Amino acid sequence: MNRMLTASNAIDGVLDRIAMAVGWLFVACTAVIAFDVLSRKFGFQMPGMGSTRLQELEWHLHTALFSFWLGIAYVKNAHVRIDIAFINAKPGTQVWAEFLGCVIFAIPYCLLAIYFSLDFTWIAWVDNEGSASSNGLPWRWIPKGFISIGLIMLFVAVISVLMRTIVYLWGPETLRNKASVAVIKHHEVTV
Amino acid sequence: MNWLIHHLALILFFVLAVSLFSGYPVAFVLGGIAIMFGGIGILLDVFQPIQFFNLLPRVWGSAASNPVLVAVPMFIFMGTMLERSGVANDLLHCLQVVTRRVPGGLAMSVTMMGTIMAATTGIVGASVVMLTMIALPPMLERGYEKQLAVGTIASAGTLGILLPPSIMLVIIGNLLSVSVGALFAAAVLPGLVLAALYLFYIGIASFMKPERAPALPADIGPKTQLELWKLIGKSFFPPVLLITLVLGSIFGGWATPTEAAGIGCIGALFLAWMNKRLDMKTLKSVIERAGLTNAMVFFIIFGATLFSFVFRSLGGDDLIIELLDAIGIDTGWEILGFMLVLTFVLGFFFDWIEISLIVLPVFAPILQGVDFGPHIGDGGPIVFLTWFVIMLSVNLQTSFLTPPFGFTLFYMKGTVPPSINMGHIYRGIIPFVVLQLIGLCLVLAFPQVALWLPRTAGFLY
Repeated sequence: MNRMLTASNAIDGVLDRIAMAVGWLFVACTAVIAFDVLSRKFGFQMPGMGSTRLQELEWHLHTALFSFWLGIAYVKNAHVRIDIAFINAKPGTQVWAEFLGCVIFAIPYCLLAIYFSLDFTWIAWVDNEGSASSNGLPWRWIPKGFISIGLIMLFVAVISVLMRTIVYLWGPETLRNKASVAVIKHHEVTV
Repeated sequence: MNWLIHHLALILFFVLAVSLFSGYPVAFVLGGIAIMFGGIGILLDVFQPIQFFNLLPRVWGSAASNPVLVAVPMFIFMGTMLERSGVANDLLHCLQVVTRRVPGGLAMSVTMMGTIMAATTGIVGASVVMLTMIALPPMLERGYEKQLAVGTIASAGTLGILLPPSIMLVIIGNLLSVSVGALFAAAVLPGLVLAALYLFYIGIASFMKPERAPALPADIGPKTQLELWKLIGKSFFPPVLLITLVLGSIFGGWATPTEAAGIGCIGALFLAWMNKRLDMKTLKSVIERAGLTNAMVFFIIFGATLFSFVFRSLGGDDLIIELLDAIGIDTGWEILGFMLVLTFVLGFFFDWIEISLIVLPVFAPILQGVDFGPHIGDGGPIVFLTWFVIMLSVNLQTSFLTPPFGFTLFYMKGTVPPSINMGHIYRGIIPFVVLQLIGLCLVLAFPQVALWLPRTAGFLY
């Protein structure tokens, strides 16, 4: 049980670090947009960096930005919930609901999405799919791969939360507090 | 068995409605239930396993490879930056100083800040919590009546879903194929009308009963005129200029919403730097908050895409039309009324993200076919949709505020000190709900309130 908790903490740490690193793409995306706007208004163009390419780059970055944050957003409890029915429930009940949710909803969803997403990325790779526009970006498998990796990270996050709920529900008393499952924390509204 | 096959989509909808209340993240529930019913569909031979593959191309098209939606993370980043770098706080302080002689000045400042800073308030729950934290303490300190204080804050917090740059409008525009620029333009006047109604009410209420909103002490703020202008120049003009620039460039046709949002981010970074708050700590906290909010929005798109696809594959579209026929809803007014009532009730429990992403795709084909005729003038379905989205937004705002369920009120309760109870919140919000309804009726009766600006700016004909 102790090992499960350690593993869960380690997973959360890794997910957090990856997400924070990718988060700098907010700034990068801002810069790309600014560069695109300026270069078009003032009519200059860097070789290989035409407006079509820059605009495609913008949504490539955007795809990475939301994909890589899906998992950590679950761990940090940022995904919306309709919790009015459970808001006054005992912590044990809430953890049970979280455990069942992981098993019934999240795991099947993640596995199915990962399976088809890998297929989707694979097809793009095999066909060497590029932009429909002749002066767009090549290698569509890269942004499609972002989604695949994001979904895998999401699955890992679900496993991490699941392990916490297991430790909470069946582990020894002493580990309960340490297994502070997101679901208990989320009732204190955070900004 | 045939009955089951025919009604599978309907059962799917009900099971979803019940399961959402499990308190598990909405996006997972949407996706999980969709898989479950896809599985039942496979057993009944009305759904093929390979159809699940459609999830990816759909998510790819509706969330990823879509230049318009890049505006969403950009606006979220801009709003979070303005909030975390203290620009919002300084603006409130400045407005408070300027309006200190007006009855109810502090409450008015909160409303005005909600109007100007609509960008920071894309997600209702978060914005109400944020406004409560920065605006409630000074109001209570000055001896404001609790009801008036909470009513003002809650109503100001929901203005952000309507007033541009609202990320809700970006996402709905994308769902219904209406230009985001047109929706932004259409939302401006109704939003300002609502803000004016609030200000008017606060003014009257404070004038009639001054003890509800005690005036601020005269010595607050700078002593000399020069210093006052300095304060205004430092705290008021920069954010107002930034928002004007962002919206103006969209309305003037110089920039797409995405470009305007990107430029807005630069502006927000610049303002933070001017405020000397552009350090690593702030940047990291902005990135974290914006990243989480952004992931939350787009993950619902993931879940809702699979859900609405399975719903449609199981014959949900036809079923909805049959259902509306059976209760005799077919004219434009009836459909409009039905949609407004439906979304109003849903607004008690769900934020706009779930409502627009679950309900609108289901009803989009019906809405796109509505012919409203002379009431809204020429221009075809696009004009109706623009007008409809604005009414939907005002309607949702009202719903979020309406006791006893309006969920804004619960967020508020979670943030206020214990001296304020649910009774204060309910009583405080009622006048604002009435004002919201007046605003809704105005847009309903005079579509020009919403449609004039987009027509003038050339988004609609």
